[in-house]
Amino acid sequence: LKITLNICRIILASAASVGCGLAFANQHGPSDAMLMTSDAESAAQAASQLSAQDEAKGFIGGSHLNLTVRSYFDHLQQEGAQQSATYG
Amino acid sequence: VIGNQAIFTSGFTQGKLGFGTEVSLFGGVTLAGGRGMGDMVHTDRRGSGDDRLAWAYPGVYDVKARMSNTTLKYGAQLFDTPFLISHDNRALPATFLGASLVSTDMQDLTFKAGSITKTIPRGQTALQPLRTEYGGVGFGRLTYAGVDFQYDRDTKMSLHVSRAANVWDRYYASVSHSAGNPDAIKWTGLLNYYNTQNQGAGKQGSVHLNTYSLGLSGQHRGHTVLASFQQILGDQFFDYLNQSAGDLMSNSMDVDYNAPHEKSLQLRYTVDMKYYGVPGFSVMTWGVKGWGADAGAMASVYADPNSSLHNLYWKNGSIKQGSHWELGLTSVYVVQSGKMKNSTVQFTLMHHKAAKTYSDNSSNVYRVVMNVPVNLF
Repeated sequence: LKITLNICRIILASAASVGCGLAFANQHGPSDAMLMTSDAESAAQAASQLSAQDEAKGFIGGSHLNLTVRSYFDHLQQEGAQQSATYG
Repeated sequence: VIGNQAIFTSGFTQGKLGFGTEVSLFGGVTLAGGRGMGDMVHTDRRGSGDDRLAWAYPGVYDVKARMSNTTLKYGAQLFDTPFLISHDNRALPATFLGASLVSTDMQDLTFKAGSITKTIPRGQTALQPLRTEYGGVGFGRLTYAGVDFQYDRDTKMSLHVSRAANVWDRYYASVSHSAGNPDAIKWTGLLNYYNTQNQGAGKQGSVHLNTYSLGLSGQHRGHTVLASFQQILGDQFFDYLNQSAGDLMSNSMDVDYNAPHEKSLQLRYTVDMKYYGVPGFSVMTWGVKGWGADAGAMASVYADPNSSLHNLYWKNGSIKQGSHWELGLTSVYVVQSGKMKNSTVQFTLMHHKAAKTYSDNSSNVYRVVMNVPVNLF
């Protein structure tokens, strides 16, 4: 009985292998371009897994000084009241 | 007025936990105007404009710590949440003193939380207590938390909660979704919803408010048309924190359309001139009509002129009510290249016409703002 069962398993495994082979036979394998894109995506994903703190350049190295100069002109006419401090 | 914001932002020390700081010098020089100009120039604590020629103060200063993509700050800083947005429509923006936490450690999620206790208002140089914009009620602390979720490229959701201590608890939810291609038509729907309930001592009285705006826009190449409807469901004003633009309702433009029971409808048109060979230049024009405002229910509660909230619901002896409308036009040009890259010039014209009994006065605004950012190092 054991021998019969083993033979059946071998036959089933072989049939499954042949079936899978036939099933995927007509599918296109990944092209070089796809592989390259895939690799690039993997690299990008790996890079994006680095957190902002992982890429910290240090207290001085990451510092910057920004100056914003604003010229502001506003003319408001308000009915029934002088210009209100709470306007807008 | 010339406003200058010099902000030094340090990097973070290296290691698992990084530390840093931000310090700044804000300054203003009045070229014209003075008393009677409110916070458009330097102003005293009562809010009156004064004749001071120049002023300077540290508008932003904080210490910060970062772990992974989570940053915690404490100090005077600029905020951006559905309840607390540093109002920046003067020479210098308002800043707030408190703690903030922003985390983007989870993919597609941005978590925000914080708590503030003071503000440096526009036109002033020192910390002042928090208060509500319309009610003028002072309170000690505003605390918030919430999350923004970018479901996919076209769908975004937000859920936030806040507490203005002893005034109100407020909840905010929004969802926006886009479909289509702007080369044909791209449709975008946007829902904003706030729920507000009085909290603790209820310094601004009983508050039970549902507020929503529902917008639909259609974009074809450079042209975008938006129609939005907004409604205040409740007997109170949809009030918010003074010095904050923390009102993300669609129809909050020149004025807020936030009176009790008010409904409003907006039609807005925007053209992006990059499709016509002028990248960086855009023009937006809009009209909003508000109707059905009626503060009668709360006015009867605060009919006594000596009561604390009388002026919130009464105006010149009449109950606040009625209709109003506005028309607006704003054009912006953003320099695209060269040494002036990212500099902006913005011209804004707004006309608001209101019934004598409406809470916001009729007004005309002409505003020209030029920003020149310089990265010194």
